[in-house]
Amino acid sequence: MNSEMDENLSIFISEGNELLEDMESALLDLESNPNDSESMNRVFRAAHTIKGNAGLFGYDQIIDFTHIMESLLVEVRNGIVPITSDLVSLFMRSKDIITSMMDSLVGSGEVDQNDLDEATKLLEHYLADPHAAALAANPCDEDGSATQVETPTGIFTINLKLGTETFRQGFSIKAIFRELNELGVITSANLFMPDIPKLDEIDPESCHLSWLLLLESSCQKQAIADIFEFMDDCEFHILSPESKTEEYKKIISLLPNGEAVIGQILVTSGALTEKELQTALDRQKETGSRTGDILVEQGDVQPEVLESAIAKQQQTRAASSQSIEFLRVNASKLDTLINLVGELVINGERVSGLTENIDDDKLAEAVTEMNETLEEMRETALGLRIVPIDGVFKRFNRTVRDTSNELGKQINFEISGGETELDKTVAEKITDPLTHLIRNAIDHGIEKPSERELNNKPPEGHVALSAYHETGSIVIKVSDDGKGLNKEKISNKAIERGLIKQNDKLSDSEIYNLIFEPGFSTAEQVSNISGRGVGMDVVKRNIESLRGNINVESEEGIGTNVIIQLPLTLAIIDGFLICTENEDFVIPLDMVVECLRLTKEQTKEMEKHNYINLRGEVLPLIDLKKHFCLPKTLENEPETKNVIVVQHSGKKTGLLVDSLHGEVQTVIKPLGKIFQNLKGFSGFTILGSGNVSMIIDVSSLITDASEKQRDSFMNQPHGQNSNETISSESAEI
Amino acid sequence: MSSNEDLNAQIAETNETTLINNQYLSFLLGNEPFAIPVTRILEIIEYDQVTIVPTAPERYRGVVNLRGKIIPVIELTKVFGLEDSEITKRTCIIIMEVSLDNETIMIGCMVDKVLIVQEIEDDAIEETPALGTIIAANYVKGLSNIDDRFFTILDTDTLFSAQELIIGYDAGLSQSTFTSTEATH
Amino acid sequence: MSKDQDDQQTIKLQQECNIYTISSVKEQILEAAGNSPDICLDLANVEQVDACFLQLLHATNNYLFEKKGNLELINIPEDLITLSDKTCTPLPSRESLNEQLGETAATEPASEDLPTES
Repeated sequence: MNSEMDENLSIFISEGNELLEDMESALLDLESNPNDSESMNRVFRAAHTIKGNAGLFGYDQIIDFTHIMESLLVEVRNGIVPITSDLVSLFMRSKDIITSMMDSLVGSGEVDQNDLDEATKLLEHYLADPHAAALAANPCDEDGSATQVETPTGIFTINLKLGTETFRQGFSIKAIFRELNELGVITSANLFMPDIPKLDEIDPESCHLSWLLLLESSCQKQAIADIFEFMDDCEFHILSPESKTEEYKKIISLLPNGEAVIGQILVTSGALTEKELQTALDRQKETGSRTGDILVEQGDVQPEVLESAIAKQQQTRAASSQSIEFLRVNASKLDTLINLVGELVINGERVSGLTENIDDDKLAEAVTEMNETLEEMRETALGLRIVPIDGVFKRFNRTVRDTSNELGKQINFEISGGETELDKTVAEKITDPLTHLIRNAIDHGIEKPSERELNNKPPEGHVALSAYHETGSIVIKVSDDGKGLNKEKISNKAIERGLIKQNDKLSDSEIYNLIFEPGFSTAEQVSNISGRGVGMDVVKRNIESLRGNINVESEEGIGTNVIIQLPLTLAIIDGFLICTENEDFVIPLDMVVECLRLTKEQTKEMEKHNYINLRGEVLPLIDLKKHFCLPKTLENEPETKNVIVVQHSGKKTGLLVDSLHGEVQTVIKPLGKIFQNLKGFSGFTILGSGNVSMIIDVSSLITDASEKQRDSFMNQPHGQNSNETISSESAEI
Repeated sequence: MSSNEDLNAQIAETNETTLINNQYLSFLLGNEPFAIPVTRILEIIEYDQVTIVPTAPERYRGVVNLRGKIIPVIELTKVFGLEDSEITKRTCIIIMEVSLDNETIMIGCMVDKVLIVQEIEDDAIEETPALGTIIAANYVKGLSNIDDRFFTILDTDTLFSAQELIIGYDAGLSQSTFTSTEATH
Repeated sequence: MSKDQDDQQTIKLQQECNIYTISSVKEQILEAAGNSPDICLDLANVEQVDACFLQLLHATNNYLFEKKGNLELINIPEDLITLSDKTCTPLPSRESLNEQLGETAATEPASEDLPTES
């Protein structure tokens, strides 16, 4: 019971967050393009759905607040409240409040009551007095006459033919006109009595009156039709103002695909009333003409509105013919499934191994087939977690908007490659690092508009976020056309911080990548934007924890590119199996550069100073058995030593091992609660033999080894080139 | 002396049928008899193919694959500071379920030999003497005299606490465990 | 019922002119119209009118016009003017109305002229 509640709550929250995200991106679109009805409707739909969902669970606070928001959105959608950037900000703020309400449901955070009260008041203010609010938002309208100008009204053409029974039914014509006058202003009224009988023939109790009225109003068509609601035998046609045509067309285009009847589409959009439709349908039965034609002929809808309804109908039909159904699945269930499939693949391999020596063709065939199916199954299972990166990217519109506003910089933010797919977990974990990089680009990269103009750059800075696939990984790029990195400054700072030595010769790329070193970007950056105690080193660490890597390219005065490369999935890696002291380890294949067998000279060289000469370059070595303090299992050291060369942050390091066993594909199992803080490993995997093997996290292994080496130098200082060699002496102490 | 299968069946039965029980599993570390409540025990498996977890504190013998689950194996002799014993055919891993920071995980305890599942009434458990326990007193719940041998009843709450089990549970702890590991080699 | 002044007959309507009395009003007018197409309706005693009365006035006007006669309204009660304005239904023989009221009926754009609800 309780867990069911929890599950429902988490579904509500996760769906709610998706909706809020969409709302935010739609609001941003709306801000740049206030006439974009698609965005308007996305905002509306999000608020509406959240309200509905909250209603299911009885979250009153959310219901109440979204209700006010929704009411105002209706007014905005109907053009009564104009879209201003203040209004968008208010909606944005409301969205944040809803987010905090949802967070508070799961106990992470609280709703700021003051903020809520204030936002509620503002929303109500707009609702109560749209024009005044609009005026307040546009103080440039100088005098009172502006009120008239601001009113988004149009002229309805009402063709009213009263039924003969009108008088006898007791309807008061006077009351009808009074109600019309309440909706707007009758600018013209023409009385028609085309079929009024002569005095000697007239039944004075029968009504023969008709009017052609022009009503200037901002109301909805249905509101007018409602006046005539109970007058059964009266015929009326209300043609909405031209100004409404666009609105109806918009609404029609936004209707969910599902209703395939033109008349109903028009009614839903508000362009047609139920009664008009009924009249038209009745006539259609008599005449056999198309409903749409009748509607236009009767003066119920504008031809253009009809056209968009027809287009919608076709679209609906097309969509329903290839309707894709989506299921919302608990992510942990999905993970379990993927894990189980992983197990199955391993078991499959094991079975293959066991049956290899059995001479039975049919068995061999069955096993092969099974493994093929398993492989397919695994790929499908992994595909379940794959999502387009778009969802992550869109959030940054807000980041850019807020950051640039805060800093008074103009930013043209461009997103490309949003359709690029990656594992959902990776997508989620990449958000924070990307936020930091984007803020950084705006804060430190892009210059102030005045400064840009001095350098012949457009005042508006350009920040681009892009993604694309590249051989089994996804590449994400954050580019800006700002001032670029200053090599000299970085070098000086790195020397000052003791990261490099005065006379170290570094390539440009090595210099740029110093910004990712721990301790580089902490002290001086105290600005509110990117200096929140988080340095680029944290960004780098986050990326590396996802088994990705990060690089920076820059040209002074031109701009900076930060390039992140990430694996497509976290669940499975291609690994390289090595063995030392009878213990197997897996190294992620993308880290492996090459394998070496040490020559006798190299072995000697290695024993002396923990590095070898690899084609003229110094290759530092880490002896895994020493580094891991593995118990001795072999009586004699093997005669030949193997080295697997890994590359990390552009630097090569050799890992000394007993034997190399080649490539394996492995399912990563997390370290788990107990070992989660263990350094040097990223997880476990189960090999085909059923044995567990550890997956080496190359970057933390090297960091760990460097620390040990540094410690050992502290104890025995000798003037070696400390930056290049990594020893494992500490293990021998 | 029962086989693992018999014991497993017995444990499963006790855990299924009774909510509160005084059933204990007794085992040997070296020649010292110990007992733990069966309530936390899932099963007993033979010692086989333990993968070393380098850089972990030495109390961790490594991990085993139990039907696709990776289970950390604790070497109780190391925890208690007892003499190491040889791996024999009788060496077993007792698989248990423990709760750490509201998360239930499985761990294995390596013991030299499992004995039997037996009932020990609460009043048959003597309080831990201030002195003279074979292991640190905080791991001991009490002593029980069975057939003229004193069995050390382990306090599973301390033994399997987050502090005790999770590596680097707090920074200070992690520091000391790491250095101690290195020092032994 | 005198026949002076160009044969114009003056009918002094006594009742309320609503759906319940409209048929008898019609009979009254029709009877008079049989004598002469020039009719003057004296509405001094009429306090309340309905839209059906307006319609009847128009029918009468058409009828008399066909017979080359004329319809004149005198002592128009406030209620009829209000009704006429409210429903944008002009009273027949506007010329005479204009003389009496000095105002336009609402066939023209009447947004400013429409009296507010009283």
